[in-house]
Amino acid sequence: MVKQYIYATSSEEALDYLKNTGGVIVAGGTTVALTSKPDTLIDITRANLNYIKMKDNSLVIGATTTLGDIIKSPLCYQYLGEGFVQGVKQIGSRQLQNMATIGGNIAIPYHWRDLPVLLLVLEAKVKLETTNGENLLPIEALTADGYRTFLKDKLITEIIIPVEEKVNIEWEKFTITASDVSILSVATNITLNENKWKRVKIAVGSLTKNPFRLKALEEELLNKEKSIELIDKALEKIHWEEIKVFPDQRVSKDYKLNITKVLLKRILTKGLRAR
Amino acid sequence: MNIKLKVNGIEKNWDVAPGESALEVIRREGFTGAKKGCDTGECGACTILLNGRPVLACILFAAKLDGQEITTIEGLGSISFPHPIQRALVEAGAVQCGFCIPGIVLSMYALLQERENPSREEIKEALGGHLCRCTGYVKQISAIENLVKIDKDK
Repeated sequence: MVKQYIYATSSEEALDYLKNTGGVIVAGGTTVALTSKPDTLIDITRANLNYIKMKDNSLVIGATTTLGDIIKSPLCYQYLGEGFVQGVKQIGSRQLQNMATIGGNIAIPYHWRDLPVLLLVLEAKVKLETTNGENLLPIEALTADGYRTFLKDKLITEIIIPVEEKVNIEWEKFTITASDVSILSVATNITLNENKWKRVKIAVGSLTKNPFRLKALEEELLNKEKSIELIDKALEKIHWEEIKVFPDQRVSKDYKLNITKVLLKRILTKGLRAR
Repeated sequence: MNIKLKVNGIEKNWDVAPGESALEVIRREGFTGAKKGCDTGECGACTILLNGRPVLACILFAAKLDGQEITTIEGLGSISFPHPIQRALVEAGAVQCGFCIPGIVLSMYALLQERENPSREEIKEALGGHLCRCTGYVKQISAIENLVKIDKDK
C-alpha cells in the first residue's frame, strides 16, 4: 500500500529519495498504477525533465516528455520525420499518449514496449544519472536482459537522438485493435543511394523478451542493389528457428514469426521508395 | 495528503490517499460522470481533461492533480443545458446505454479545441481510445462531422 507520494523537484532530489526511501520512480504513472504499489512513490514529472531541444546536432528529449508532446513537436517532425511521428501516434490511445512518457516507455517491464523499437533504428542514447554522476549509454543497454535490475539505482533523464541528414523512418505495428498493445512491431531507418541500400537499420519489437536490431537482415541488404527479390532472399536467410519467441495469449508463436516476416517484407518494400 | 486543484473552473481542496486513482477521488467527490469501466486504462470511460488534454483517470494517481486544472463532463453540459457535442451525439442516434459517452464528449471537446475543422481521420484517431459496446462508431463519427459542418455553415 502506498504510504507517501513525493514530488521530486530535480533529478538529484529524485535520486536522493530513491536511495533513502527505497521507493519507486513514477513518471506518467500508467504502469505503476497497474502493477506495483510500494510504500513510496517518487514523482519526477516536476523535476524539469520535460523538454525537446536541439543540442550539438542531436535532438534531446527529457525523460518525462509525454508521447503527446512528441507527436505535437515541430522539432521531432522536422528532424526525425513524419514516419517517426506517425509511429509514436500508434502507441496507445490519445489519452494514454498524454500520460505516458518517453523515459517510462523505456523503463516499463513489458516485452511490447514500442518506443525503444523506434529508438533502436535511430541509434538513440540514454542519459542515466546516479548519485555518483551521469552516464551516456546506447539504447541497446536498456533493451538487454536484466535492464530493470540495472536501472534500480539510476534515473533516466534524457534521450539523445543523433540527427542524420536523410531520415526515413518506417513503422509497422500489428495489433487486434488500434490502441491495443503490440502483438508485433517493426521499424526501419533506410536510405538508398544509386539504387543501393546505403543505410539499413531494422528493429523488431514484441517478438522476443526485448526489442532488438535484426542485424543479420541489415547485413544481407547493405550496399546491395535494391529489389523485392533480394528482400525475399534476405528474409529466407535469417535463422528464424533460433529466435526465442515471447509467448502472447492472443496469438501462437508460429503466427508471431510469420507475421514478423510479413511485416518486414512490407516495411522493406516501402523502404524501396526511400531516397 | 491534501491536494489543491481546479475542477470545472472552481477551486477545490481534496484529501486523497497517496496511492489512490484520480477516478476514485473524482467520483467520491460527486463527479460521477467519469465512469469506472475496465479500470485498467483501456476502455476510455473514465476520460477527463487534465489541463485541457484527455487522460485516463483510472490509471492516473490522484496526487498528480495537485496544482492542476481538470474538466469533467459536469463542466461541459447538463441534462437541461447539453453541450453542442452532446446534442450532436443524441441527434445522430449515437447514444444507447451512454456509459462511454461522457469520455467521448470530453475527447471530442479537446479535439475541437485543437482543430476547428477536424477530418474524419482525425475524429477516428481521437475516438481510438474509447470502447463503445452498443452502437459501433459510425454514428459517433457522423455526429461530430455533422456538428463541424453545421458550425461551418453558420
